[in-house]
Amino acid sequence: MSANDNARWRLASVTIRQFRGVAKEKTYAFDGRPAMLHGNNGVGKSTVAVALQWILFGRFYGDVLPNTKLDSFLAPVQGKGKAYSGEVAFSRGSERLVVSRDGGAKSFTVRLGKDTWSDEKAEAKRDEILGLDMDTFVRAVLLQQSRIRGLLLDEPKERNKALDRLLGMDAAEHLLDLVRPRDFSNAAVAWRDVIRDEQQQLRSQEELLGTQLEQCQRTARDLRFLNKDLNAPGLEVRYLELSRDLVALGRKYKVEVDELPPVPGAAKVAAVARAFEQAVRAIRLGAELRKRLTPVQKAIADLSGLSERSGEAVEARDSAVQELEAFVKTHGDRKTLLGERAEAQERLKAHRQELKEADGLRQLLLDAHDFVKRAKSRECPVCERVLPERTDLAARLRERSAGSASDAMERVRRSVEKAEGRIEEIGAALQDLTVLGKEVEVARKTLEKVREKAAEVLGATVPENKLQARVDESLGARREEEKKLALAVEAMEADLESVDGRERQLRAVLLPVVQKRDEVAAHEEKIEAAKKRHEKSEARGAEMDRYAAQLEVIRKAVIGAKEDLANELLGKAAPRAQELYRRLVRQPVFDTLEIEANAKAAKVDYTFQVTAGAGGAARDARLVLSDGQLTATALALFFALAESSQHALDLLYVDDPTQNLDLPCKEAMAKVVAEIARRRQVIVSTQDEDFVTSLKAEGFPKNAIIHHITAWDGNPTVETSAPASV
Amino acid sequence: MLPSKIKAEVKLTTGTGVSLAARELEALAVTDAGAVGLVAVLFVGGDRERDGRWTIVDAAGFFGRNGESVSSARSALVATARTQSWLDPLRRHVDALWPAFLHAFVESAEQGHAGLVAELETLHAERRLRERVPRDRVLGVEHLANVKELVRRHGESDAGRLAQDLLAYLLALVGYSKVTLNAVGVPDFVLEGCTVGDPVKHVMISLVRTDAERVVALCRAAGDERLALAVESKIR
Repeated sequence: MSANDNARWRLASVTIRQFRGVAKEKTYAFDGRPAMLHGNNGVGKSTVAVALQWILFGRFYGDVLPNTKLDSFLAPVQGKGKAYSGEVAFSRGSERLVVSRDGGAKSFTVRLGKDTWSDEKAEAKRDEILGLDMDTFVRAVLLQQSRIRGLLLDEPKERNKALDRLLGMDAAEHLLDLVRPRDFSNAAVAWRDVIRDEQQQLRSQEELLGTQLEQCQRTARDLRFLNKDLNAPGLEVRYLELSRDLVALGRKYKVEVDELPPVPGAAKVAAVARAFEQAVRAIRLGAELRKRLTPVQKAIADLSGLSERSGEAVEARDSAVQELEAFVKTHGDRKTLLGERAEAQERLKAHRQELKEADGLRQLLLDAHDFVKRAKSRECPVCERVLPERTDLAARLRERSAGSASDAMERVRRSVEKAEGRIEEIGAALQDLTVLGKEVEVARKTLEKVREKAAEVLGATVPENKLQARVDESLGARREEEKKLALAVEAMEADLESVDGRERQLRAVLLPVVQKRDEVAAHEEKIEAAKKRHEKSEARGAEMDRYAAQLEVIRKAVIGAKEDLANELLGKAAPRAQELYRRLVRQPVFDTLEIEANAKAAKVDYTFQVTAGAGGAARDARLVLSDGQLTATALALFFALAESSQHALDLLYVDDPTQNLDLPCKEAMAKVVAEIARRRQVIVSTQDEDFVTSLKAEGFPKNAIIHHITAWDGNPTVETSAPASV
Repeated sequence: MLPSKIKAEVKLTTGTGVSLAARELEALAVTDAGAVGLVAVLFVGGDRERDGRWTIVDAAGFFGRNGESVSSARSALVATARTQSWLDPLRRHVDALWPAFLHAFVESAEQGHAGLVAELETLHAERRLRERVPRDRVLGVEHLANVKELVRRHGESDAGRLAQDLLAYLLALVGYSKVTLNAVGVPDFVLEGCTVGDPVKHVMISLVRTDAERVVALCRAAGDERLALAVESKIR
């Protein structure tokens, strides 16, 4: 064991580079002596305390500033973006321990003599050498009022937290935060809720499907389907029966149809229904009855036509013949008419000659008259006989020509006209005769065609006089045949309608049952699958319950341990805390401080009470002490706990301890700090010049180093007075 | 192995427990080592998991209790049944076939006790009971509907008697030649003449468990419950 093994480390210096209030580099030397940093607000005093913690541990509890990243907080106030770093040196006799941290390089080193460690090894070595971790450091070395501010709060939970921090119970609290049986209990409930919800959903669906299935089944039973029919095999059997009946119908009506395909399940029904429909159509259209009925109906149609047309044809023919005969009777036949016309033509010819001749005489007389008139003649120019004296030949000639023209010619002319008229009449009669003859011919031909058709329909030539009777007789027979066949077709349609109806019923009634059963079956499988899942979920729920019970045990154990540990620490610090309470708070009535940890069901509560003398009534400190007194009480407790802590640092760094304190309290505080500084290295950082004065008055060690920070312009301006060590 | 003889007291209840009169219990006492007295209860009380299923226990569990009657809650019966593994082959047979069996005869049950028994008797005598049992799965909802319909149509008491008839012949299907029904007396029915496990010419075969279980499943699928039970009873 070396001579230094029992000595403790003291702070030798803190070097800060580009960190918070130091834009460049600043080294504060302490040389293991008590020290004081004082100066106005905002000159960089707290930068030293922050740098000390950051260099040693690289982190802080929670956020250093709300909503501010650590990098932004630690960067130099002026000259941002630069990599901050620092170095802390401790001394113990001749030994020197140097701890360095570089924010830019993200490196951490510990150097002791010739040995150097880096990063994780350095972290471990630091804790080993100094005998403390960050938790102990901020509880037992570095006093910042922010750490104990919670003691002033009204909220018991926050006060408990503040005491936890003071006592170093954070780890236990953190452990209690992690050990949460309720989370597992809630998880168990959640697993069971999931099961219950799914079960309810499945049952509700099952109920609905069950009701729907029951309705389908009831409809089917109303139509006389039995239980054995109300499933897929039942449907298959029913279709099989239908298929057999359909094939039998095919045989009955002499149409070959195939058996229907099997119906192993609801999915096949549509295809089988189509096959069924085709088979029914094939029977309906291809049945022999239908083949026999068609020609009969055609014959009936033909015979009906013949029956009407044969009578009409005979009547038309007879009428035409009668009309022709009547015409001949009136006008004679063609030969007679032709003879008459020849005679009339002869007569016309003669009359025309006669007329010509008569016209010649008249012309002679007219010429003679013209001659006589021009040259009186003694002789008749016609007969050349001598004319008697004074005969007026001209007049006589005129009279004679006029007479001959008017009588003879008129007569001849009338004969000519008559002959011409007669010839015309005969021509017209001949034309009429031709037309009538043609009409008779057409009527005859029509009748002939009817007879030919009748012969074709009846199968034999029928005499004209028996035609109508034979057609009507045949028509009657065919109609009788048609009636019989129609009845048979009607029976076939009834048969087909029957099977068709059965098939429709299977599809409309039985198929929905089978389909709904399939749905229900699928749902029941779903329920079975869910049951298996639920068994697993139930097992998980039970597992969660077990974990919850185990964690409850652990939690109780942690709470018990925390209570014991806290009371042990408080017990150790109690005498000193009581002494400091009386000196710092100076409460005239409540002169006794009582702090105790009490385990409750799920936490450890602290009673933070004061009493008036031993055995006096205890009162909640928050109710009877002022904020300043509470702050002083907290500081008393802090100093007591710090002094009772075991570690290798002989250092108490007090950052601005007089906030909220009145002058007498500051003086008392100065006295206490000065006392402590006589036993160990104390570094006080303050802006309170009254406190500085009091400290000096109370005999703060003469060898203390005083750093007076007088100004700040990105870097602090420091006036250091360092008397030679005593 | 199946019991050589079965005496059974059958209860159908819409409640949550059953009560057995002392005389009913006495009638279930057996002297033959291979025989068994059974209490079979069909619950129709609104519990989805248990409704319509038979809970079968060995009546020996009730013996020794004093009083004119003994009562047992459904949960106690179920718990008792779990401890009586020797009845498991019978229970498996009943659980596997009961829904289909009831479905097959629920329409016949509408005729009442006499008609139903006459039909069951004839079919049993002609060994045609199996033919009537549908191969197609009877859905859970259909089975529950059948049970509820039985109770609704006949009332709890008569439905109990019909259930007794049906259970007797369902158990007989396993391999009992003689069925004696006591419509008014005790016990409710007696099955005798067990044909399963007769000293017929045995052969020894050795199968791994999975194959033996497959044989059982295949026998059931083929409708040979007797062979299924015979093989199943040998699986250790």
